Amino acid sequence: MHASQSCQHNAEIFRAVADTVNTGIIVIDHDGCIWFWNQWMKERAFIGDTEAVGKPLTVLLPELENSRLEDAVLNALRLGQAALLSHALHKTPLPLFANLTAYKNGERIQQAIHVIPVKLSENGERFCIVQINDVTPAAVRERLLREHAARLQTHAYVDALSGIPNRRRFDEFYEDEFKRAARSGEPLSVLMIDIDAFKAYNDTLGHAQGDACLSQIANALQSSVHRTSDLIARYGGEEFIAVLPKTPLEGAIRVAENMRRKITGLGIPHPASPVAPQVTVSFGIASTQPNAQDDRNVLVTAADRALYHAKKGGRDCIACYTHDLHLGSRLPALKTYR
Amino acid sequence: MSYPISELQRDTLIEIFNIGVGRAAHSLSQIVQEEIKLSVPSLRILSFREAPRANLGIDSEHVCAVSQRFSSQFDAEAMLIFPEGKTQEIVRRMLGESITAEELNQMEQEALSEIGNIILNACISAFSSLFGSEFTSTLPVYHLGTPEETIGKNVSNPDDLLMLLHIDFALPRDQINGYLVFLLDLPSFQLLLEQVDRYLAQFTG
Repeated sequence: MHASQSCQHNAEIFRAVADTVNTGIIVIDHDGCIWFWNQWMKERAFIGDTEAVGKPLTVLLPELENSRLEDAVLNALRLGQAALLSHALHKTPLPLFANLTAYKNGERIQQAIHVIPVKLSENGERFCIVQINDVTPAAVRERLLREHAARLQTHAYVDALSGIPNRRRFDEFYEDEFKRAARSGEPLSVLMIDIDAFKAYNDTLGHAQGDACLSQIANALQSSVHRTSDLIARYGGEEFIAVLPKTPLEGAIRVAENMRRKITGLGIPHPASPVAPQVTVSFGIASTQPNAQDDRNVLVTAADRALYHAKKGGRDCIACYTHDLHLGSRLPALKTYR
Repeated sequence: MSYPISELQRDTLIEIFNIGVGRAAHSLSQIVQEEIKLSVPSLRILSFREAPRANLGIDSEHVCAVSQRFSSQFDAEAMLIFPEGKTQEIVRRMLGESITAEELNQMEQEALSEIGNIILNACISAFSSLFGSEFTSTLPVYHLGTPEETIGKNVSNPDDLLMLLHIDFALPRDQINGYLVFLLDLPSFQLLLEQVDRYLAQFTG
């Protein structure tokens, strides 16, 4: 093979390789003019190489004037400096499109660009390679993950500390069960549960111990309800709430008595408690047969008020409304069980 | 102990670095469309041998670094180093988005690589244009590790010199401090000082 033939052969190999790779390659000569524009570029810029070759990048693509890419190319040619244009900071510097539809809609490919100076010999002229990678798949994945994370955030139903359902879960569950009870005409009960003298517990034993206590109580409460239709949730602070569908007042009292026994049985030492040597809880119960147009808050507020009476009545006890809420008495009859 | 360098030489080097980072700040400000100021207030020369952590003044268990190799009549490894965690703040501000810590880790590396690339190239450009000599550079490489291994991985001889500069990164509401480190062997450093002297001679006649 003659030298000239081998030279031509090498050039053909170079062209074949450069046109096959799955990356954009622009070669810019010493004078800043495009010397080579590969197949990948033709397909995504919608500009053929006959149009591109021989022109400075900023003449072919005027939007690049005074851009970081122009700077990077000039510095590569002039000073021999390599540069990186990260996707994180630039997104879509070049007008490149995945297909004709994207081209018409102006939706650009997400890009990561390297500008690399090359010199064949010590005294040779320097040229530079602009290499463009399509990072759209990674960018799309990143966006989906971000959206997914945001959705998980807003739809998180579990209390991080205790592992039982959280307040948000309660709100949705209660709304559903209230409507269901109104339709079916069945009773609905709500239990408000509060750890006695929990502030004193935290103050004497520390917050880490307080967290552990909360978690233990949550588990005990959770294991006291056996029907899948019941819900125990952390309401906030040291307060828990139970929703018991299809349960009249008597049933709710039995559940509460069971819970109270279980928690006393845990025997978690509470040196600062004015009530007992171990951790105890107080219960407020309210029960009703809801109508669809009833205010949802009434039942919860009633349970909360009953809890207040349980606290005032000496703690470690169960207080409840013995009248149906619809009777609307101003000073509802309360009964305390111990 | 420090390498003998005159006050005038030191001041000149600091001046040149400040020209470089000033240009870099301009480029970075354009990218984020917010004013970013960079300055290099001090410079120390010490050998790698006498550069344990305490001496470097980098009081952080781990650091993030972006390094590039520069070649001219001599070679130098240039690094931009930030204490781990500080870089997240820079990148978060540069990206200007509300993003979570996990996402930030993903983007931090590439964004920081580019920020380092801009700052290091700009510093070297300043040397090139003032000395009239040409320095070529390689693409930036990201590294996370202890200060010793981050700097040490590029050291072949413990007598190699470290040119250690503080760099202040002033964002509109924050100030973040990092380090610029240039690793040179002894002959390279002497060549650098000769170029500084030649540059100064233009003014003193």
